[in-house]
Amino acid sequence: MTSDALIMRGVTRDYPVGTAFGRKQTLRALRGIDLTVGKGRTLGLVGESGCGKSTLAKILLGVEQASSGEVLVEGRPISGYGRLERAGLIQPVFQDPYSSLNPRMTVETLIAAPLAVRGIGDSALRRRRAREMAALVGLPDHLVSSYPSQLSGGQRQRVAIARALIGEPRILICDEPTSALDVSVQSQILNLLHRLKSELDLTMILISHNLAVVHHLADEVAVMYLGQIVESGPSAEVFARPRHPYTEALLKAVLPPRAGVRLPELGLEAEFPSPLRPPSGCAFHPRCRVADGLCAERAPERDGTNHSFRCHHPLGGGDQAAAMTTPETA
Amino acid sequence: MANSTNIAPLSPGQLAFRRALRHGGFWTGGLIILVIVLAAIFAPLLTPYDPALQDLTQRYIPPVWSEKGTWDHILGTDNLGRDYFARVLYGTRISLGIGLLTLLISGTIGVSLGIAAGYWGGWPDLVINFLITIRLTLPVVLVALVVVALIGNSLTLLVLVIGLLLWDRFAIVVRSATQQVASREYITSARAIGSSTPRILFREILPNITGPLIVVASIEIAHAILLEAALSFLGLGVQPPQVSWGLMVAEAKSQLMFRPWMIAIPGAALVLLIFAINLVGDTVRDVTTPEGKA
Repeated sequence: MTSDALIMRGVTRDYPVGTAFGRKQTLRALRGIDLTVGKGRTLGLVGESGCGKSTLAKILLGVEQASSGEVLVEGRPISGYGRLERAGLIQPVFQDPYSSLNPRMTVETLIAAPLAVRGIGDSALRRRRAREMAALVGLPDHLVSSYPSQLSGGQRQRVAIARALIGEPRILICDEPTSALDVSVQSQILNLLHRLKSELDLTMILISHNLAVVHHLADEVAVMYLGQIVESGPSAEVFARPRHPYTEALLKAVLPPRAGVRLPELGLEAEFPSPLRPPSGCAFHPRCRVADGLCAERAPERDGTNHSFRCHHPLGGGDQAAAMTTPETA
Repeated sequence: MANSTNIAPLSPGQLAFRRALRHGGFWTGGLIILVIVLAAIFAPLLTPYDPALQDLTQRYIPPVWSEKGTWDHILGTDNLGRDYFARVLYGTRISLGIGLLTLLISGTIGVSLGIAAGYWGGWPDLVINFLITIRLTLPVVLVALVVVALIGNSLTLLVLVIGLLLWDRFAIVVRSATQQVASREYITSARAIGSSTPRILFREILPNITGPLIVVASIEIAHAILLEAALSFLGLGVQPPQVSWGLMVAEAKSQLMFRPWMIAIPGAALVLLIFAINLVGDTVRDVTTPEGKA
């Protein structure tokens, strides 16, 4: 057990939502998440917008509380950590570096803030550490007294990464760290994260809807759909032999960078369902190509051990599927 | 990038100040305010007269630009022979003093309530909105009238009454500005690094709402000055022998048809000060929004 950095058991998160006519409704953002991340591993969390990925990240950061279920960080419940203790253990890198940095603070202040909050060292020491971190993430030294509005998107994300790592956390949660950046900068930031992860021996949760990124960086993958993890397992395994039809559809949607390739027919005609009114049975059945009557009636249980999935009709996982669905990562 | 090494980066505040310096309104308004403030501070050096000193042999002397004016009394004298220029100068002290002191009270109340409502939302927001609504239903002059009638008349009371009544705009503007800022990701980030709530409120949110805050402050300081003049005019504010522009207008109202300058001079002083404050407030609004224009 001690080798697991993070364990989630049956985690749910409900939001009370008032409608226009005053009727109280419940938005079930997370519906029973079971997840385990080993120390030093990278978990890729994949799913459409609105499936609950960011809610999951917020719960791990302690910004939101789970409605029920258990979150264990390094063997202890997350609620058992104090505010500063937790901050020293888990740190985020957010999606949008344009809004995740306070525009009124200098780069130096931003990077050193986690130390200042925890009262580590005096201001001279914190400034020196901030400059060291800036160098580590590849920020030119002359930028440390700049303000965020004077930096490019990639530079801002480097600031965010330096700020996340200065307190030497054990777990880094990257919520779509590159989706707001130019393509040319994306790979720089990803390589930086990858390098720092192994240098600092971090456990990383990488939330992304870019499958190529996940394939490149993650040891394990969890695919989310409407607040549930529908498939999870070792990255290579899931990418090569998806068992859940949704995973298969996601993988097919990745376009290889070759001329003449068209968008494939995915069979995902129906809209993404509203989490306020989830479909009966298996949440994915209205859009699923293999669904039948059983799927509309009863939600599938989790199946499989190492590579698990929630589906009544898992795909064969044969060689044919593998040949068809391996994403072409450049 | 190499060139930028020797250019010291400017904070958003400094950038806004630079933009303000290129703004005509800032220069005009700022200069007028500066002159008025200096006049208030150095009033005893600028005039040899005591504003309360009566000289019944020198009543109703018109200002220097009229035919019967004299350079001894630049702006003439009033019905008791008091030097009008001295009275206008010393009246500046009351106006500015009341403006600043009430601003301190109303600003503290309004900003605290607004930040609390905007940051926490939920029931604190409901309670504070209720307080704002109650405050908005109270007619300011009527409340001031009742309080003065019940408790009596003093400068301290006047400051307290105005200060305790004019916090509503602060609360409303700060509340919505805080809501906007609180939803930004850097607030989530601040919470994720373990920042305490006071730290988030004062280090992360407050510096990011200074623009609207200064604009409201300029409006409210002008509002308080006008209210003091209005209450003094009604006899509920500053009492003789203290001097206030509103009081001067009140004392001269019987002379409206015969000596209009007696009303025009304190009136003009009031207009000039309010105009200048509003100009500076407008400049601040122009240079702080939209954020990050430079």
